[in-house]
Amino acid sequence: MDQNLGDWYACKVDRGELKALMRRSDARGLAQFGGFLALVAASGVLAYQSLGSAWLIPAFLFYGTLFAFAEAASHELDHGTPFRTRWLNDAGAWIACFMMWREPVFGRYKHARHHSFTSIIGSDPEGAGFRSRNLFDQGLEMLIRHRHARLHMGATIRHAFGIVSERDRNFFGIPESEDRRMFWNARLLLLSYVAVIAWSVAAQSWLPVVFLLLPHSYGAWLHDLCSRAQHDGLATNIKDHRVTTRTMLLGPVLRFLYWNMNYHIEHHLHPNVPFHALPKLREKIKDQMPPPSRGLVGTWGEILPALMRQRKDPDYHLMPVLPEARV
Amino acid sequence: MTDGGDYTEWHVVGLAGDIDDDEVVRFDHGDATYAVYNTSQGYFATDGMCTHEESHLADGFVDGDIIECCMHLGRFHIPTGQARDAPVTVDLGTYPVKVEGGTIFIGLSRRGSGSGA
Repeated sequence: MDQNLGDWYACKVDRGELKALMRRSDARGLAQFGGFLALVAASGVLAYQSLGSAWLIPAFLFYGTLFAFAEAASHELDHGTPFRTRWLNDAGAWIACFMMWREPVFGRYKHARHHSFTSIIGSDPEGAGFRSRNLFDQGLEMLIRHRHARLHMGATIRHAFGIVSERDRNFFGIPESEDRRMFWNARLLLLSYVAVIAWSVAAQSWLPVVFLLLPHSYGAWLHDLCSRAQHDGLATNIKDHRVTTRTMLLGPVLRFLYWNMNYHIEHHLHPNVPFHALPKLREKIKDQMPPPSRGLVGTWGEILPALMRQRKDPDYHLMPVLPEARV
Repeated sequence: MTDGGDYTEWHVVGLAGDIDDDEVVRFDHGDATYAVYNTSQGYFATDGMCTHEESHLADGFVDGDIIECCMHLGRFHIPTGQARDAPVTVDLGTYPVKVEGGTIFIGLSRRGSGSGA
């Protein structure tokens, strides 16, 4: 599909106010990312303490569920917006990418394409238009992230061996000038995973693998319930994020874990605005937006029937009421 | 006026007060579009479109001597046009800027090509 970024819907917002919202803050970034890592570490201590007790499964589920929100951290850090200081973003992105099995260069180009072609079927490598209509497969992905593993670990292994596929180059748009950096990143990432596995073997214990490699799989469900709500059940092939993307209102705990990505229409309209300023951006443009979905349960109450109906009618989608239609 | 053998035409961008500190504006001339910046290091001008995809840099975010594209957040060094952070890998052309009598001028060659600095 022809891609002219000027064709997409753009909201009206005062340039000076927008610029103020775009400002980055190392303090806000440290509080958010440091707080997230501290929570993961504290839940990891609880999980460790639970070994040998009946609390083992719920404790590890709790740890994994927090851990898997590294995907939200990685998303923001890859955009480069949480910290003002560049190396802090890059260092944070490495930690989060390790946690979620994703090499940063590949991930960044893939996500850039998602922003260029949001919900354009055949062009968007993420989101609703990218998914299979098979609900069992979608549910399995939510529980164990097998598709994510195949895509990202597959790319990491390929790139570690210096292989760039035609799809890497022509679909994801990774230029040759990035190859060297991507290859070395992939080798480093792969080596770190091999080191964790070797640690497990040497210690004759599953714990290093269960604590460091697998939580992104066994803990993915809650993050996925949040992230799947970004586009699922909504329109495709329309250059207006207000009808292809969803903003939902969440409580403070989920907003913190999810880095405010529940304000997802606002994120797509202005990706330069860091996570902490998205609620303020929402306030400034809400009269131009459709009504938000309310709560994770309420949002899935909208999405699930739409997904069920799409199995029989692939063209069906929810259509939010836009302000101009409400007048 | 001559500039290294090339003929340079100076075009009015606007009044110095028209561009806030750490801000960028769009300037169109002929078929081309440019971005003119007011930074703490002075005024600068570059090509107006991001080299990654068709997006106006004037909609981006000026942070010190860096312009960040509004679409994919690729970053360029404003004074040199150098591509600094993915997904941008191709440098911007740069253009001379002068301020005379409170008016900002951008220097463009007759063919409209940049210095490619």
